[in-house]
Amino acid sequence: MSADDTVQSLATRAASSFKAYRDGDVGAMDQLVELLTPVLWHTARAQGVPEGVAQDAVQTAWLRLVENSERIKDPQAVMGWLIVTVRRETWRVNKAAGREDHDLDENLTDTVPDPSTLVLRREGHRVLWGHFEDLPPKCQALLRVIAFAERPDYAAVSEALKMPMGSIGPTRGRCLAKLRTALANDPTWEGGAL
Amino acid sequence: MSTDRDLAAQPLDDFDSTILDTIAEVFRAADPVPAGLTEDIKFALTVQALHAEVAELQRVGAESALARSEYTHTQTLTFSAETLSVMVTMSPIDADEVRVDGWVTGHDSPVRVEIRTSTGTITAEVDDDGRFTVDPAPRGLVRFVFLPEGDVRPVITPTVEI
Repeated sequence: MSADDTVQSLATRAASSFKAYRDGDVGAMDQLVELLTPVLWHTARAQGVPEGVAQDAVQTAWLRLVENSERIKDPQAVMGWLIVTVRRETWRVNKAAGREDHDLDENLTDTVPDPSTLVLRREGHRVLWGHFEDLPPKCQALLRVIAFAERPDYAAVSEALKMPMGSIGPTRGRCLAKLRTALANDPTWEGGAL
Repeated sequence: MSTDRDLAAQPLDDFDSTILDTIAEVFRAADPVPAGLTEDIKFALTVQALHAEVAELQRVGAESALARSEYTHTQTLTFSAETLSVMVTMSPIDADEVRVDGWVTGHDSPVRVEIRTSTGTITAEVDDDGRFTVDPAPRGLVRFVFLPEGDVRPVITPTVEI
């Protein structure tokens, strides 16, 4: 996520690789895989599934893309299509693996980072993380996935995760607003010290 | 809560970006994309695109080809598939390049060989005795693809280090 509004969205870069692939550039698919696998990995893991399930789901989504590539009319939609497919495949693979059929977003315990990670040793990060973990699971999942895209992708990613922004333009949305309110009300938060 | 709703309707600002960057940083450290996942995906897509049979790595001579190593000796890999078997020998040239000698058996019609590297594809023809040579080939992770003439499924090897 960049602070620069002129940054090219992930969706746009993905669209150009996908278009090149459809125009016969076989290597462009490799670029697309490099570009989007991180956001897809976190889409799967944000649903609270084990690593193996997430790997299967992400890999299967890519195979589905190749099978269905002619059906995606607008290359700009390819990122959203993959996110939606990963979500569906995560649910399917997880079910096939015999795990309980529950709302996956509610079960995040498996993928929650350990606060001892390097990043969280900084005070500001720890405070932020505490409030992040207090967010509803669906908000945590949304922000996690969005964090791996660019700012202009916010609306498309929200849409793909079935949490549409409901307004025009990349507004902050409910989840980030909640997090910012929590930070503002926290006396231990020293304001932007990240 | 109205504060939340007002905040929610505002455009993203730099602090939102900082927050999201931090969230990404934490997850990148705590739950990284598994090593090899993107390579596995690319491999699966190539197999799918070629409708190829995946050859089995039978034998690794000298040192393990599956470990990244600065090997200095000749190493030999053997692959087998339903339609053909291949023995590939790599002789080091320098730190960046190797000479690849291969021998394809079990298949009569002409076969074209591709070495797919991270930077591109090198093609070679297999001669009447089933031999082929690529000299030089860049070191690194590669997949060999064997494309028999006619209506025969191509054969692809797992990713190996040459």
